[in-house]
Amino acid sequence: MKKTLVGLLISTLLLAAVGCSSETAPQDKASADAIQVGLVQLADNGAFTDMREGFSTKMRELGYTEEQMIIDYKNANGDTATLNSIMQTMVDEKKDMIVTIGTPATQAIVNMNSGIPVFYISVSNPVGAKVITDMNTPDKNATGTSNAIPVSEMFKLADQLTPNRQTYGLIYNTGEINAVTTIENAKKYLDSVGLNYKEVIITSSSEVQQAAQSLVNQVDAFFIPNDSVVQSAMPQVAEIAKNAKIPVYGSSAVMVQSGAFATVSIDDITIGGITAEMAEKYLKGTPIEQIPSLIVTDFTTVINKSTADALGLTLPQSVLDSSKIID
Amino acid sequence: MTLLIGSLQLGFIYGMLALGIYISFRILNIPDLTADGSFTLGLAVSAVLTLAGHPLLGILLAIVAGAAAGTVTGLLQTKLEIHPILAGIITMSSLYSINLYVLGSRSNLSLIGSDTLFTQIAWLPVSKEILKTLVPFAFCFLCAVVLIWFFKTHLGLCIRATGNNEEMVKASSINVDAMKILAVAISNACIGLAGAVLAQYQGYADISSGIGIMVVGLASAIIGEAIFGRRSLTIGLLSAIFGSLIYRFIIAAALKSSIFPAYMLRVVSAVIVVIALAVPVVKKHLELHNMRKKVELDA
Repeated sequence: MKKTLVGLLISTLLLAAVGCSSETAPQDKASADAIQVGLVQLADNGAFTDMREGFSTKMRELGYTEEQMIIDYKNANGDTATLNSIMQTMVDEKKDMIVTIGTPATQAIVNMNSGIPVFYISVSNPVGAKVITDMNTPDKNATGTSNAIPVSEMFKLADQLTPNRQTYGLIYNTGEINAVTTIENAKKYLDSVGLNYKEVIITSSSEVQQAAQSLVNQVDAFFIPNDSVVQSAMPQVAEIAKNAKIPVYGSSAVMVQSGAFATVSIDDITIGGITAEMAEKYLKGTPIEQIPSLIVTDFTTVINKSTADALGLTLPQSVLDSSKIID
Repeated sequence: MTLLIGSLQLGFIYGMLALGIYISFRILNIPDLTADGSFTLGLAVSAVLTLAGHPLLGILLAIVAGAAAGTVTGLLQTKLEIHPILAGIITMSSLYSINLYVLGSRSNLSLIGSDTLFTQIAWLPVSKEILKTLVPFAFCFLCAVVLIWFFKTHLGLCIRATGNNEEMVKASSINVDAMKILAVAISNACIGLAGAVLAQYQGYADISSGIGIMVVGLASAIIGEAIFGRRSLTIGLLSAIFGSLIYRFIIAAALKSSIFPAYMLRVVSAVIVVIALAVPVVKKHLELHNMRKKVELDA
């Protein structure tokens, strides 16, 4: 039994060692002064993938070729325990900078106080997440972008495309801070203009279909916040709404691609690109304290044409001209 | 270096989780799925009290909260005769709402810059990494010592007997239900403790922190058992902690191997776990094979 134990220990250590050596090999091959970037996200979803692509595409555009900048991408597959291990790997390998997508990944690395600069993408409330004290002067070696959902613009668009809707159905999951913030803003806006709303809170994507069915006869339109749980079940919501001939307003282009009617939102590729520009400033010599954290307000209207046809809506030409249309 | 020490730190934190899982799965022989909820409950309680300036109290109350969650599962199992798996699922899913309530209907609470146990002992003249190892190690060690002591007391022995032979325990006029409830409560107290230390270690509590944590604890307990075998209770509990350390090193190795794309991480770690578990089996087969050969030769 002792032999087994020793054998197992040795094999584990060997595995680790083999892992280490296979890791360092490609680094040696690349030019010695290549910039090492660690890109980390907690889980995978359409929006995060776009942000990641946005970041790396922008970096290549800015002239950092694959030889000059090595982007090491790690995904915790939804496991926060692994997230900590990933961050330790990044610190271990002495990355030149770490790029994080989403709030938990950013908190995990900032809390390690590693001395490596952090550039985050899509942390909805950096001050609340305590990764920065003042948006204008990063003090924890971390800066990046936040995505605000333009709630009022969203409802103004709704009023223009589908006028006289009295009651909005809201479906969201209280487990996501981004979704809750957006819903609070939406309720505030709806109250201020005298419209009604009915909300259903869900805890997993398996409940979304029933939530939508329970609301469909009581509301004139749906509004879905930036909620990854509802987003993953968007095709079901879109289908139910389509059958009832009511529109679904989403919070991201990905939702509209999955069948929602329209949205006013930040382009996820753009927000990744803006973080890349901030990282470039740092690489060019600007200290991170002088790169303010940004709330991105670069909005685009996205409309799903086939959903519009299914709802029997004719869209004004002025809106069509200024929007991105998805078929 | 950070990765190796970091794996050690995480190994000790999740070691307490493995202890909890070991109690329900091995000592009591009941599958308990409360872990996903009670782990996050520990994180939440610890985070809220740390923000209020009482990190140590946060950890103590997280233990109590975990025990309370376990008691609910235990009551559902025994008094309402709900199937143990379902009882665990019921508690786990209702804990999702409770956890959001504890966090003040936020899904994420940040402790970055707050006074935690880790910052409170910063006056010790050792490096930061050693400090970060010391706290998880101390809690894990204490937790193991208390459990080893407890399961040798009269009450502890009654719980172990309940896991071994329920009918016999009933015949000895011991209250089986009470033993089960107590064991599930202790199990979840350990799990809550693991969550509580993790929250202060990683600097935030997130509602998604407990997802899939049961599997982590179970894998750790089983890896430990595969190495040490099922022997005495002391060795069993220690092997759960050791299994957790091995599991963390496996994850670290999987992360280090950059041959596979990022999304393959879970497969890579699963395969390494299977290899680790296969070693004793292969060894046993080899021994059998050798023995047969020997017998054939002798004949």
